[in-house]
Amino acid sequence: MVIDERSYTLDPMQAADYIAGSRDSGQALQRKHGARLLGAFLTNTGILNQYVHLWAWNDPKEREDKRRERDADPDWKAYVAGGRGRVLAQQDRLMVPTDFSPMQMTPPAVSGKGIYERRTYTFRPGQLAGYVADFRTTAIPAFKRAGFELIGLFTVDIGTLNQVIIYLRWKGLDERMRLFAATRDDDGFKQLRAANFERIVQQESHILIPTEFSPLT
Amino acid sequence: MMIDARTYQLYPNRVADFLVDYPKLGLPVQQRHGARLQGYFMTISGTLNQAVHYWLYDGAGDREATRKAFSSDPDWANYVKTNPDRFYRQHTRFLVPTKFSTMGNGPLPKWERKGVYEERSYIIRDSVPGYAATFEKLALPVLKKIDDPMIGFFSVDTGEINQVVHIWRWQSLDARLAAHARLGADPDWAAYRKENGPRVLQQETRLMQPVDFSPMQ
Repeated sequence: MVIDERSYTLDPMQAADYIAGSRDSGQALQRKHGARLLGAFLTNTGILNQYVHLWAWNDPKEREDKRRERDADPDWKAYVAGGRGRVLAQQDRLMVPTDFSPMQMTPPAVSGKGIYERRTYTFRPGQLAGYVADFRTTAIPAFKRAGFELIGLFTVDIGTLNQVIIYLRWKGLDERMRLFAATRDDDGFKQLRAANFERIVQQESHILIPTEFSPLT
Repeated sequence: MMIDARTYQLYPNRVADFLVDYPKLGLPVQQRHGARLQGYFMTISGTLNQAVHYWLYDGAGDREATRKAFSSDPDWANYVKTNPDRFYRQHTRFLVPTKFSTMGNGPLPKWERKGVYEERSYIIRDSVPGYAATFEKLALPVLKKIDDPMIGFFSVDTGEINQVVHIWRWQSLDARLAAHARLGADPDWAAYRKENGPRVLQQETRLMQPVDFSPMQ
């Protein structure tokens, strides 16, 4: 299984039109050609007007075959031509979910409206396996205690290597700050921090707001 | 007046030490020689573990003289010995305040509680002065309707120029999202965006939390 995470930087003045076009025609065309949308978001920190969307594929070959089939569809060609000029830059990476990631081929069930956070940790080469092992044994129970809603945890297959991508979901950003602050005295978190800060070179965090057609709401 | 805006990338496992040592051993030496610290923050979005600090100077001459004065103090030489162990990248840029910017044009308000700060950097396609004039005329009156103030508005004088930097102080991150929603629904804001929107090529934002020794809270 492989997850294709795509980030498109949209023209600030045309971002709303692009999202409406995807909602009204792009999504149905993708489904017609077997693509499975996991989540679709707009960035709220970092570079704004970035559309971040995740797709699940059984394997890279399925991704390749289905995308080729889609690209030959005249309706798809017309859709892409209509959106030209709205997209300034495109980026994608292929990620593999860890066995304990709630997000696999389908997104985990969520209730109500939430705000998402994507954290990207870059490791010293060779340090990633230890992090993932500790996450399974220590972070999963610590997250439960803390009330964190883990959506997915991935390693990168194609893109910048030695990275872990973590998707979290929050009811609100004030609650996020409160829950984070409450982990300060938790032994599990203390233990994780002590081990991980020696492994991690860089940490990044971005806030994502789901679009109206995102399966993850 | 100008602001020297500095960003230091700390090692994740050295942040705590840095935030203990710097206000004790470094900052007092700088202040003894007339350096005027406006605000000192840690990033909470984008690349984490970054210290962001704003320093006020009358101009480049004042900055040079002040920095020369504290750099030649033996106490400073003693302090900076620990730096290579704490951070690995430093970035600095000059920000020039517009006449309607609170920061850089006189004393800052005093806040009892800690707020959350946001630094928004926009790349402007055409005419930073034109963008600023339109902002003053059409955006400032609308911004009076929301509770939290924009406290800094600058043009960027070094590095990637043709940029404006807006600095906001929010009571909380949820208050920020609520204010954005309110602006998004305001016809006067739409009228402003119609004028200035086409000038904006790219928008980037980062969220920051003041540290305990920051004058801006």
